[in-house]
Amino acid sequence: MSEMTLAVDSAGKAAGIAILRDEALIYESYLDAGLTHSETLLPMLKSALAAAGIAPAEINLYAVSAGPGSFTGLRIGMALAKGLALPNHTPCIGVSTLEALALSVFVPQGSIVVAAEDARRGEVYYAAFEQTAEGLHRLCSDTAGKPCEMQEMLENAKKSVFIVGDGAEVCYNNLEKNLTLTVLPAHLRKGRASGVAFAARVACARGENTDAALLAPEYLKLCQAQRERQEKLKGSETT
Amino acid sequence: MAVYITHSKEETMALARQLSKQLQNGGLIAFTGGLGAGKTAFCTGLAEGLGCTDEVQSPTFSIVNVYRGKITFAHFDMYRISTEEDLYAASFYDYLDSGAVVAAEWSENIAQFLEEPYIKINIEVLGENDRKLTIEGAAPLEETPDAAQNGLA
Repeated sequence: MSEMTLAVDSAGKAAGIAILRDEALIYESYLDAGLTHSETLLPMLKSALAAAGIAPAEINLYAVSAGPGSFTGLRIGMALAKGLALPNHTPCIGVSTLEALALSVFVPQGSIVVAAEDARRGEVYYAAFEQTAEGLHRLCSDTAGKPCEMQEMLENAKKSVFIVGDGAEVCYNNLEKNLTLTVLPAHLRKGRASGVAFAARVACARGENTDAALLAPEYLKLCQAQRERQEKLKGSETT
Repeated sequence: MAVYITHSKEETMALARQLSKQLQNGGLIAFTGGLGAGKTAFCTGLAEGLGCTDEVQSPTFSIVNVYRGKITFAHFDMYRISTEEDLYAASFYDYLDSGAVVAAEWSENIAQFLEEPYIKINIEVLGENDRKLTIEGAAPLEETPDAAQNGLA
Protein backbone atom coordinates (compact mmCIF):
# COMPACT_ATOMS: atom_id res chain seq x y z
CA MET A 1 0.00 0.00 0.00
CA SER A 2 1.24 3.46 -0.81
CA GLU A 3 2.35 5.92 1.83
CA MET A 4 0.53 9.25 1.81
CA THR A 5 2.39 12.31 3.10
CA LEU A 6 0.68 15.64 3.64
CA ALA A 7 2.92 18.67 4.12
CA VAL A 8 2.08 22.09 5.51
CA ASP A 9 4.30 25.09 4.91
CA SER A 10 3.60 28.34 6.74
CA ALA A 11 7.08 29.29 7.93
CA GLY A 12 7.37 32.35 5.73
CA LYS A 13 5.09 34.77 3.92
CA ALA A 14 3.76 32.08 1.60
CA ALA A 15 1.49 29.24 2.62
CA GLY A 16 1.47 25.85 0.94
CA ILE A 17 0.04 22.36 1.09
CA ALA A 18 1.53 19.36 -0.71
CA ILE A 19 0.53 15.71 -0.91
CA LEU A 20 2.88 12.88 -1.87
CA ARG A 21 1.96 9.34 -2.80
CA ASP A 22 5.17 7.55 -1.83
CA GLU A 23 7.81 9.73 -3.50
CA ALA A 24 5.50 11.20 -6.13
CA LEU A 25 4.00 14.66 -5.78
CA ILE A 26 0.28 14.46 -6.50
CA TYR A 27 -0.88 17.87 -5.26
CA GLU A 28 0.70 21.18 -4.36
CA SER A 29 -0.53 24.68 -3.63
CA TYR A 30 1.31 27.95 -3.05
CA LEU A 31 -0.27 31.18 -1.86
CA ASP A 32 1.56 34.44 -1.32
CA ALA A 33 -1.16 37.07 -1.51
CA GLY A 34 -0.40 38.87 1.74
CA LEU A 35 -3.14 37.05 3.64
CA THR A 36 -2.91 35.59 7.11
CA HIS A 37 -2.01 31.91 7.37
CA SER A 38 -4.56 31.45 10.14
CA GLU A 39 -7.26 32.34 7.63
CA THR A 40 -5.93 30.67 4.50
CA LEU A 41 -4.29 27.43 5.58
CA LEU A 42 -7.38 25.44 6.59
CA PRO A 43 -9.33 26.26 3.40
CA MET A 44 -6.19 25.36 1.42
CA LEU A 45 -5.99 22.04 3.24
CA LYS A 46 -9.65 21.32 2.57
CA SER A 47 -9.21 22.10 -1.14
CA ALA A 48 -6.12 19.90 -1.28
CA LEU A 49 -7.85 16.84 0.18
CA ALA A 50 -10.95 17.39 -1.96
CA ALA A 51 -8.97 17.89 -5.17
CA ALA A 52 -6.82 14.83 -4.56
CA GLY A 53 -9.82 12.78 -3.42
CA ILE A 54 -8.19 11.82 -0.13
CA ALA A 55 -9.70 11.55 3.35
CA PRO A 56 -7.60 12.71 6.33
CA ALA A 57 -7.67 9.13 7.68
CA GLU A 58 -5.69 7.98 4.64
CA ILE A 59 -2.72 10.20 5.45
CA ASN A 60 0.21 8.24 6.90
CA LEU A 61 2.52 11.14 7.69
CA TYR A 62 2.05 14.83 8.40
CA ALA A 63 4.99 17.09 7.69
CA VAL A 64 5.47 20.68 8.72
CA SER A 65 8.23 23.25 8.42
CA ALA A 66 9.57 23.69 11.95
CA GLY A 67 11.76 26.73 11.44
CA PRO A 68 13.57 28.96 11.24
CA GLY A 69 10.77 31.25 10.16
CA SER A 70 8.07 33.65 11.22
CA PHE A 71 7.03 33.21 14.85
CA THR A 72 3.32 33.30 14.09
CA GLY A 73 3.65 31.24 10.93
CA LEU A 74 5.54 28.42 12.62
CA ARG A 75 2.98 28.19 15.42
CA ILE A 76 0.08 28.09 13.00
CA GLY A 77 1.71 25.29 11.01
CA MET A 78 2.61 23.31 14.13
CA ALA A 79 -0.88 23.65 15.58
CA LEU A 80 -2.44 22.50 12.33
CA ALA A 81 -0.14 19.49 11.94
CA LYS A 82 -0.63 18.43 15.56
CA GLY A 83 -4.38 18.81 15.30
CA LEU A 84 -4.50 16.74 12.13
CA ALA A 85 -2.32 14.03 13.64
CA LEU A 86 -4.33 13.78 16.85
CA PRO A 87 -7.45 11.74 15.91
CA ASN A 88 -5.57 8.74 14.48
CA HIS A 89 -2.21 9.26 16.20
CA THR A 90 -0.77 9.76 12.75
CA PRO A 91 3.01 10.16 12.66
CA CYS A 92 4.02 13.78 12.39
CA ILE A 93 7.39 15.32 11.66
CA GLY A 94 8.90 18.80 11.72
CA VAL A 95 11.62 19.59 9.22
CA SER A 96 14.17 22.35 8.82
CA THR A 97 12.72 25.16 6.73
CA LEU A 98 16.13 25.51 5.08
CA GLU A 99 16.40 21.84 4.16
CA ALA A 100 12.86 21.99 2.75
CA LEU A 101 13.88 25.07 0.78
CA ALA A 102 16.92 23.28 -0.65
CA LEU A 103 14.68 20.36 -1.65
CA SER A 104 12.20 22.74 -3.32
CA VAL A 105 14.62 23.63 -6.09
CA PHE A 106 16.78 21.84 -8.61
CA VAL A 107 20.55 22.19 -8.71
CA PRO A 108 22.90 19.99 -10.74
CA GLN A 109 24.71 17.10 -9.13
CA GLY A 110 28.13 18.06 -7.78
CA SER A 111 27.09 21.61 -6.98
CA ILE A 112 26.19 23.28 -3.72
CA VAL A 113 22.85 24.78 -2.80
CA VAL A 114 22.80 27.49 -0.13
CA ALA A 115 19.35 27.93 1.39
CA ALA A 116 19.06 31.41 2.91
CA GLU A 117 16.15 33.21 4.50
CA ASP A 118 16.36 36.87 5.39
CA ALA A 119 16.93 37.45 9.13
CA ARG A 120 17.14 41.29 8.87
CA ARG A 121 19.96 43.76 9.33
CA GLY A 122 22.24 41.98 6.87
CA GLU A 123 21.88 38.59 8.52
CA VAL A 124 20.36 35.40 7.16
CA TYR A 125 19.38 31.98 8.36
CA TYR A 126 21.46 29.72 6.20
CA ALA A 127 22.39 26.13 5.54
CA ALA A 128 24.48 24.64 2.74
CA PHE A 129 24.07 21.28 1.04
CA GLU A 130 25.91 19.41 -1.66
CA GLN A 131 23.84 17.74 -4.34
CA THR A 132 25.06 14.15 -4.59
CA ALA A 133 23.82 11.03 -6.39
CA GLU A 134 22.24 9.93 -3.08
CA GLY A 135 20.48 13.26 -2.51
CA LEU A 136 21.39 16.34 -0.54
CA HIS A 137 24.38 16.11 1.77
CA ARG A 138 24.32 18.73 4.52
CA LEU A 139 27.51 20.80 4.83
CA CYS A 140 26.57 22.88 7.89
CA SER A 141 23.80 23.06 10.45
CA ASP A 142 21.06 25.73 10.27
CA THR A 143 22.75 28.95 11.37
CA ALA A 144 21.82 32.58 11.87
CA GLY A 145 24.53 35.00 10.90
CA LYS A 146 26.27 37.07 8.25
CA PRO A 147 26.62 35.52 4.79
CA CYS A 148 30.41 36.08 4.86
CA GLU A 149 30.65 33.33 7.51
CA MET A 150 30.07 30.86 4.66
CA GLN A 151 32.89 32.22 2.51
CA GLU A 152 35.62 29.84 3.65
CA MET A 153 33.42 26.75 3.59
CA LEU A 154 32.25 27.54 0.07
CA GLU A 155 35.75 28.33 -1.15
CA ASN A 156 37.10 25.06 0.22
CA ALA A 157 34.35 23.08 -1.49
CA LYS A 158 35.50 24.37 -4.92
CA LYS A 159 32.09 23.82 -6.49
CA SER A 160 29.40 25.88 -8.19
CA VAL A 161 27.10 27.47 -5.63
CA PHE A 162 23.40 28.12 -6.20
CA ILE A 163 21.67 30.40 -3.70
CA VAL A 164 17.94 30.13 -2.99
CA GLY A 165 15.43 31.65 -0.59
CA ASP A 166 14.48 35.23 0.18
CA GLY A 167 17.95 35.83 1.64
CA ALA A 168 19.61 34.92 -1.67
CA GLU A 169 20.38 38.49 -2.72
CA VAL A 170 21.82 39.42 0.68
CA CYS A 171 24.12 36.40 0.36
CA TYR A 172 25.09 37.14 -3.21
CA ASN A 173 25.96 40.75 -2.37
CA ASN A 174 28.03 39.79 0.66
CA LEU A 175 30.03 36.86 -0.64
CA GLU A 176 33.26 37.44 -2.48
CA LYS A 177 33.11 36.88 -6.17
CA ASN A 178 35.97 34.38 -6.38
CA LEU A 179 33.15 31.85 -5.92
CA THR A 180 30.98 30.61 -8.78
CA LEU A 181 27.72 32.03 -7.49
CA THR A 182 24.30 31.81 -9.10
CA VAL A 183 21.15 33.27 -7.65
CA LEU A 184 18.17 31.35 -9.03
CA PRO A 185 15.40 33.50 -10.58
CA ALA A 186 12.87 34.82 -8.04
CA HIS A 187 10.05 32.41 -8.88
CA LEU A 188 12.39 29.41 -8.82
CA ARG A 189 14.07 30.12 -5.49
CA LYS A 190 11.08 29.91 -3.14
CA GLY A 191 10.43 27.24 -0.56
CA ARG A 192 7.46 25.05 -1.40
CA ALA A 193 5.35 22.62 0.54
CA SER A 194 6.65 19.79 -1.68
CA GLY A 195 10.12 20.55 -0.27
CA VAL A 196 8.70 20.11 3.24
CA ALA A 197 7.16 16.79 2.17
CA PHE A 198 10.40 15.52 0.61
CA ALA A 199 12.43 16.64 3.63
CA ALA A 200 10.00 14.72 5.84
CA ARG A 201 10.46 11.55 3.78
CA VAL A 202 14.22 11.90 4.14
CA ALA A 203 13.93 12.55 7.89
CA CYS A 204 11.72 9.48 8.32
CA ALA A 205 14.26 7.39 6.43
CA ARG A 206 16.90 8.73 8.87
CA GLY A 207 14.69 7.42 11.67
CA GLU A 208 13.76 10.78 13.19
CA ASN A 209 11.01 10.91 15.76
CA THR A 210 7.48 11.19 14.43
CA ASP A 211 5.56 11.65 17.67
CA ALA A 212 3.27 14.67 17.31
CA ALA A 213 3.56 15.40 21.03
CA LEU A 214 7.30 16.05 20.65
CA LEU A 215 6.91 18.37 17.70
CA ALA A 216 8.18 21.86 18.54
CA PRO A 217 9.19 24.90 16.51
CA GLU A 218 12.84 25.83 16.04
CA TYR A 219 12.30 29.54 16.42
CA LEU A 220 15.40 31.60 16.26
CA LYS A 221 19.00 30.70 16.47
CA LEU A 222 20.84 33.80 17.41
CA CYS A 223 24.47 33.72 16.53
CA GLN A 224 27.11 33.78 19.24
CA ALA A 225 28.03 37.42 18.66
CA GLN A 226 24.44 38.54 19.18
CA ARG A 227 24.09 36.52 22.37
CA GLU A 228 27.29 37.97 23.74
CA ARG A 229 26.16 41.47 22.85
CA GLN A 230 22.87 40.94 24.63
CA GLU A 231 24.59 39.48 27.68
CA LYS A 232 26.87 42.50 27.77
CA LEU A 233 23.93 44.88 27.52
CA LYS A 234 22.12 43.06 30.31
CA GLY A 235 25.26 43.21 32.43
CA SER A 236 25.69 46.94 31.90
CA GLU A 237 22.05 47.54 32.85
CA THR A 238 22.28 45.78 36.19
CA THR A 239 25.57 47.31 37.29
CA MET B 1 13.82 66.58 11.44
CA ALA B 2 10.82 68.77 12.25
CA VAL B 3 9.47 70.11 15.52
CA TYR B 4 5.77 70.69 16.15
CA ILE B 5 4.13 72.22 19.20
CA THR B 6 0.60 71.12 20.03
CA HIS B 7 -1.65 72.67 22.65
CA SER B 8 -4.20 69.93 23.19
CA LYS B 9 -4.79 66.21 22.79
CA GLU B 10 -6.95 67.05 19.75
CA GLU B 11 -4.10 68.89 18.07
CA THR B 12 -1.76 65.98 18.71
CA MET B 13 -4.32 63.63 17.15
CA ALA B 14 -4.74 65.94 14.16
CA LEU B 15 -0.99 65.89 13.56
CA ALA B 16 -1.07 62.09 13.72
CA ARG B 17 -3.94 61.93 11.22
CA GLN B 18 -1.77 63.93 8.84
CA LEU B 19 1.19 61.63 9.31
CA SER B 20 -1.04 58.61 8.56
CA LYS B 21 -1.24 59.83 4.94
CA GLN B 22 2.45 58.94 4.61
CA LEU B 23 1.86 55.41 5.93
CA GLN B 24 -0.60 54.05 3.40
CA ASN B 25 1.87 51.28 2.46
CA GLY B 26 2.78 50.40 6.04
CA GLY B 27 5.82 51.49 7.98
CA LEU B 28 7.39 51.72 11.39
CA ILE B 29 7.12 54.51 13.94
CA ALA B 30 9.36 54.48 17.00
CA PHE B 31 8.28 56.63 19.93
CA THR B 32 10.41 57.94 22.73
CA GLY B 33 9.13 60.00 25.61
CA GLY B 34 7.90 59.30 29.10
CA LEU B 35 4.57 58.55 30.72
CA GLY B 36 1.61 60.77 29.92
CA ALA B 37 3.40 62.43 27.03
CA GLY B 38 0.63 61.60 24.59
CA LYS B 39 1.91 58.60 22.68
CA THR B 40 -1.44 56.84 22.93
CA ALA B 41 -3.26 60.02 21.84
CA PHE B 42 -0.97 60.19 18.83
CA CYS B 43 -1.74 56.53 18.06
CA THR B 44 -5.46 57.22 18.32
CA GLY B 45 -5.05 59.90 15.65
CA LEU B 46 -2.98 57.51 13.52
CA ALA B 47 -5.62 54.79 13.79
CA GLU B 48 -8.32 57.24 12.70
CA GLY B 49 -6.25 58.35 9.75
CA LEU B 50 -5.56 54.75 8.73
CA GLY B 51 -9.27 53.92 8.77
CA CYS B 52 -9.02 51.56 11.74
CA THR B 53 -12.28 50.99 13.56
CA ASP B 54 -11.09 49.19 16.70
CA GLU B 55 -10.67 51.27 19.85
CA VAL B 56 -7.12 52.38 20.59
CA GLN B 57 -5.87 51.56 24.06
CA SER B 58 -2.47 51.60 25.67
CA PRO B 59 -0.78 48.21 25.05
CA THR B 60 1.10 48.34 28.35
CA PHE B 61 -0.22 44.99 29.54
CA SER B 62 -0.92 43.29 26.22
CA ILE B 63 2.44 44.38 24.67
CA VAL B 64 0.68 44.64 21.31
CA ASN B 65 -2.79 45.80 20.30
CA VAL B 66 -3.88 45.29 16.72
CA TYR B 67 -6.47 47.58 15.19
CA ARG B 68 -8.29 46.35 12.12
CA GLY B 69 -9.26 48.60 9.27
CA LYS B 70 -8.28 49.67 5.80
CA ILE B 71 -4.68 49.25 6.92
CA THR B 72 -3.81 47.04 9.87
CA PHE B 73 -2.17 48.96 12.70
CA ALA B 74 -0.07 47.09 15.27
CA HIS B 75 0.53 49.19 18.39
CA PHE B 76 3.39 47.93 20.60
CA ASP B 77 4.58 48.89 24.05
CA MET B 78 8.25 47.87 24.40
CA TYR B 79 8.52 48.75 28.08
CA ARG B 80 9.03 45.09 29.02
CA ILE B 81 10.79 44.06 25.81
CA SER B 82 14.57 44.10 25.75
CA THR B 83 15.86 41.17 23.72
CA GLU B 84 15.55 40.27 20.08
CA GLU B 85 13.89 36.98 21.11
CA ASP B 86 11.18 38.92 22.97
CA LEU B 87 10.65 41.09 19.94
CA TYR B 88 10.39 38.07 17.68
CA ALA B 89 8.01 36.26 20.04
CA ALA B 90 5.78 39.33 20.24
CA SER B 91 5.31 38.95 16.45
CA PHE B 92 6.95 42.33 15.85
CA TYR B 93 8.70 41.17 12.67
CA ASP B 94 5.59 39.37 11.44
CA TYR B 95 3.59 42.60 11.56
CA LEU B 96 6.38 44.53 9.82
CA ASP B 97 6.57 41.90 7.08
CA SER B 98 2.81 41.87 6.62
CA GLY B 99 2.81 45.51 5.47
CA ALA B 100 1.03 46.79 8.57
CA VAL B 101 1.70 50.14 10.19
CA VAL B 102 3.68 49.33 13.32
CA ALA B 103 4.12 51.81 16.17
CA ALA B 104 6.42 51.11 19.09
CA GLU B 105 6.16 53.00 22.37
CA TRP B 106 9.30 52.90 24.56
CA SER B 107 11.34 52.16 21.45
CA GLU B 108 14.51 53.09 23.40
CA ASN B 109 14.46 49.49 24.64
CA ILE B 110 14.75 47.97 21.17
CA ALA B 111 16.54 50.70 19.20
CA GLN B 112 19.48 48.41 18.44
CA PHE B 113 17.18 45.91 16.68
CA LEU B 114 15.44 48.38 14.38
CA GLU B 115 16.29 48.60 10.73
CA GLU B 116 16.28 51.95 8.91
CA PRO B 117 14.32 53.62 7.48
CA TYR B 118 11.71 54.34 10.12
CA ILE B 119 10.01 57.38 11.60
CA LYS B 120 11.22 58.57 15.00
CA ILE B 121 8.90 60.59 17.19
CA ASN B 122 9.88 62.10 20.51
CA ILE B 123 7.13 63.67 22.59
CA GLU B 124 8.12 66.09 25.31
CA VAL B 125 5.77 67.53 27.91
CA LEU B 126 5.99 71.34 27.97
CA GLY B 127 2.98 72.05 30.15
CA GLU B 128 -0.38 70.64 31.14
CA ASN B 129 -1.63 70.55 27.54
CA ASP B 130 1.42 71.62 25.55
CA ARG B 131 3.57 69.04 23.85
CA LYS B 132 6.69 69.28 21.71
CA LEU B 133 6.81 66.61 19.01
CA THR B 134 10.10 66.02 17.25
CA ILE B 135 9.58 63.94 14.12
CA GLU B 136 12.44 62.45 12.11
CA GLY B 137 12.20 60.48 8.91
CA ALA B 138 8.84 61.82 7.70
CA ALA B 139 7.86 64.41 5.11
CA PRO B 140 6.92 67.77 6.66
CA LEU B 141 3.42 68.04 8.13
CA GLU B 142 1.14 71.07 8.07
CA GLU B 143 1.12 72.71 11.46
CA THR B 144 -2.08 71.38 13.08
CA PRO B 145 -4.42 72.14 10.15
CA ASP B 146 -7.71 71.47 11.86
CA ALA B 147 -6.69 72.81 15.25
CA ALA B 148 -7.43 76.35 14.12
CA GLN B 149 -10.90 75.26 13.08
CA ASN B 150 -11.42 73.61 16.43
CA GLY B 151 -10.42 76.89 18.05
CA LEU B 152 -13.04 78.78 16.07
CA ALA B 153 -15.82 76.31 16.71
